[in-house]
Amino acid sequence: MAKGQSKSKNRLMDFVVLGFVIITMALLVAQMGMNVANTLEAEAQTDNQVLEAQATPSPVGPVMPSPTFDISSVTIEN
Amino acid sequence: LATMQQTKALSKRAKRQRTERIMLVITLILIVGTWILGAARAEADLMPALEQALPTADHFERDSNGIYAAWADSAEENLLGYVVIGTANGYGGPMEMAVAVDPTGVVIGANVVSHKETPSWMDRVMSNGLLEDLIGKPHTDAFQLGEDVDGVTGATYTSRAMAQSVLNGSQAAARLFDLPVVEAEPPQIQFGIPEIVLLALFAVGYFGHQRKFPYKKQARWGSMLVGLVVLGFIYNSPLTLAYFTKMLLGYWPQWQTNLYWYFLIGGIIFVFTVDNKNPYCEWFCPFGAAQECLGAIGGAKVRTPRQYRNWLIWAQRILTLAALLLGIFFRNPGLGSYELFGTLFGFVGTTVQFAALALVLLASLFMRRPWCNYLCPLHAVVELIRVTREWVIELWQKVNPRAKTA
Repeated sequence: MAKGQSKSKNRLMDFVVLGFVIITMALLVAQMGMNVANTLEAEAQTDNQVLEAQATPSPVGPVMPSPTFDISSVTIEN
Repeated sequence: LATMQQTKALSKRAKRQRTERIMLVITLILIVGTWILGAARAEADLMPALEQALPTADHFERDSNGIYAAWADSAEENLLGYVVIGTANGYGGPMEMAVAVDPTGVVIGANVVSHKETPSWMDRVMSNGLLEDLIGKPHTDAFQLGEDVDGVTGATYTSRAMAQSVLNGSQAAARLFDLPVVEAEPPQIQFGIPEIVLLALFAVGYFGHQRKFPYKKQARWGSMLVGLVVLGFIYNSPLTLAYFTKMLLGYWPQWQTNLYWYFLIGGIIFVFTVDNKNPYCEWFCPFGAAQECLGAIGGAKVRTPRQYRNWLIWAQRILTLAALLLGIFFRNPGLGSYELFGTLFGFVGTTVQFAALALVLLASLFMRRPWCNYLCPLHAVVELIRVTREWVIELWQKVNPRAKTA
């Protein structure tokens, strides 16, 4: 009788340990999944910033001088 | 009957050893494969940033880690310059910039590769034209906010990180062109209380492990409590899987400012390889100590479900391997580091982490070290070292039959 009780107590303990491991491991896996999702999201944000910057490029190359003309050289013909 | 039992035990042991060795080989193959895939992914992610940093380049050729030669033509006759991945620490973590530098050492283009800054601050820095200000500067400039660079108000850390990473990149490129670079002073060696305590704990753990040591129990509890208070609650710097991932990724920190890192990881690998003892986990791991303290209060016992023992061991190893591979693939050591150490000692974590921590602490009251026995990735890493060590010794003894090993 006592032996049977001890056996069932042990079995219950086994299930408690197993339950603890499964639940905790599931939580840790979920946390890792969330970390990966956050990383991918952050990468996508950086990519978007790159794309936005590409869409509005800053001037590249030497600045061309503005066209000028010498007013003294102009003759007004009647 | 005794002989039969002995034979059975031996064959069981041989079978387990064989399985472990096969899994060791598979693990190593997976680590190498993931490392290569992760490197290819990082390289592919880098290309758009390189192209934007120097749009006039025909193509880029990898010179060394983080350095790319930018060629103007497909025949590779005209070198436009180098694009270097410069890094610096910002407010939220490391910032990576692709910095294009011409043969005279002048920055001719720059672009953000990755950052961990708050998006609104980053947007403010980008829209204020700080990046454009940095373009055109020679590598000999100071790149200091308030001196030759106008920082963006309210985003000082982000601005400083951007300027510093462009400076680092431009100096790295200048060295390739043999241009004179003012070398920064090496940082001062940081050797303080955590390092001293760590070395002392290693010494206590090493001598305490010896069979003849008379005060084993007292020494163990003493070192556990010191580990819990100093390495845990005061400095919050227990060993994590990220240490090993960093090592495998080649992210070796500056030794002058990271002696603790080297002492901890080097000490464990050295003592375990030479002496086949792991002084850290049993003697001064702060998380282990926290569980044992709770166990002493609740009268915890070793509780291992014999029927599921192997399943539990392999589940722990697979979880560790998954975490390690994630960190390697994404080139982010912290990504797979699922330990709850920071949640307990730094009170930082998500709801999920606090829930898992509550479960572990509750279980510690009646189970001996539930985290260490069923979940901790370091247990699996130590096992990996043990299997490798045994195999190497066996091979060595086959090659050199007279050799005697511990």
